Amino acid sequence: MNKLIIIIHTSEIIRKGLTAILRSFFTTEILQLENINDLHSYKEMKNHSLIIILQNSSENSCDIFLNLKKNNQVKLIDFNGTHSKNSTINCERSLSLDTTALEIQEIIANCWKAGDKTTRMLESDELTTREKEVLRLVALGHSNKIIADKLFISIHTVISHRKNISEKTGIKSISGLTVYAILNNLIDTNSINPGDLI
Amino acid sequence: MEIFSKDHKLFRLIHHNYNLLPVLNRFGIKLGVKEKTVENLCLEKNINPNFFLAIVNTFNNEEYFPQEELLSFSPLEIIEYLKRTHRYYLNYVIPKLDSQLEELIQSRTSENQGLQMVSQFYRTYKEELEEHIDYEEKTVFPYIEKMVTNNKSEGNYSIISFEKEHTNIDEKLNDLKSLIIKYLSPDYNENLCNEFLITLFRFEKDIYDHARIEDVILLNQAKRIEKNIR
Repeated sequence: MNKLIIIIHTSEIIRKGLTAILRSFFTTEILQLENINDLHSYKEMKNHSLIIILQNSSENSCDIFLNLKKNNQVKLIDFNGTHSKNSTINCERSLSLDTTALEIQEIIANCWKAGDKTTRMLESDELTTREKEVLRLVALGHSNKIIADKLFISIHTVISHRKNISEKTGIKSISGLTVYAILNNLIDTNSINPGDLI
Repeated sequence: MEIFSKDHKLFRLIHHNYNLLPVLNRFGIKLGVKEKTVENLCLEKNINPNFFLAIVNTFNNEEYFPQEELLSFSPLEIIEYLKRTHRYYLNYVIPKLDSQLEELIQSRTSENQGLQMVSQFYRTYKEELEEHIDYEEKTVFPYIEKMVTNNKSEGNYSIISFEKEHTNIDEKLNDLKSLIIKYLSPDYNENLCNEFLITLFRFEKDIYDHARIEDVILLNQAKRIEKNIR
């Protein structure tokens, strides 16, 4: 998941200052916007882990955030220029002009950490015996239904195996998986001409 | 991440992202840009600057979506640009990949089954890509062109049926990279293999942005026109 920090503030000094501080701690890409409406240009964004630092978030409409939240992991940080400690809607965290560089670093780091918990970690990238069986049948050109019948499992299980296979190997297309199967000796190429399969 | 505007100097664009070079070429812009701004150069080359910026920004910036500009230029302009991109792929990138892969295969010292499989897989990918480009140029583009010039849609064809087409091709290109990176046996010339892989990476980036311009700009425009006509 791509990480991105978006700073939305009308003050150029604050935008650039925050960027400079963040750059000294993080290599993440940083986007500076003057106005919240500029965010509309980015509403098609997908699969990002976003941290949005927003000036006085309570006064802003949340439509665009709801849009972004559909396809991204979004954390909002309120930038409160007036030093007030009032908590604002939808913001777990806040910054002000008094926040030190180290505190900023900590807040951002915590945001990333909280996000990481939800991403599933694969236990191993090795294919299981069952996955290899499924892969072999996929490579031979069988449909999910036939694979399910042959292995006495449900189609749903076949699909779930296929999803894991693609995640582990990084290969999605059937012909790509066939090449993988041949290279890893899951298919006997003496009895079948590989050219017919790919 | 930066959004370019009319006042940006062209040489800064290139320093910022050299992947834009072939994009600029498609607009008929060559190097030796001196101190010219985007606006200067567009005026000189008779290019609609809004269109130029929409393409360049969409290309440069993965999340950029030109909402306002969308209405300000004609689908015919986009189609013209997309066709030039297709020519670039067919006449330059694909032949380059062909010869790089050929050299790589020649460099092997044993049978290297992996490399042969990769080569076979590349050929199926190439066929699919060529079919896809052919389909766009013979079916999709003419459909949109007719819709724009005659102000009516023809037949039962609808632009929505076209939308899912791209994903398969992207998938295969990605698989090709994975196969080389993860599963090749090490009997080959590494420099030649790097060259091939780097060309693939750059092609993938270019074609990905190309597909985004089709999906995000052209198809959205076409849908809007279709809706108005029907």
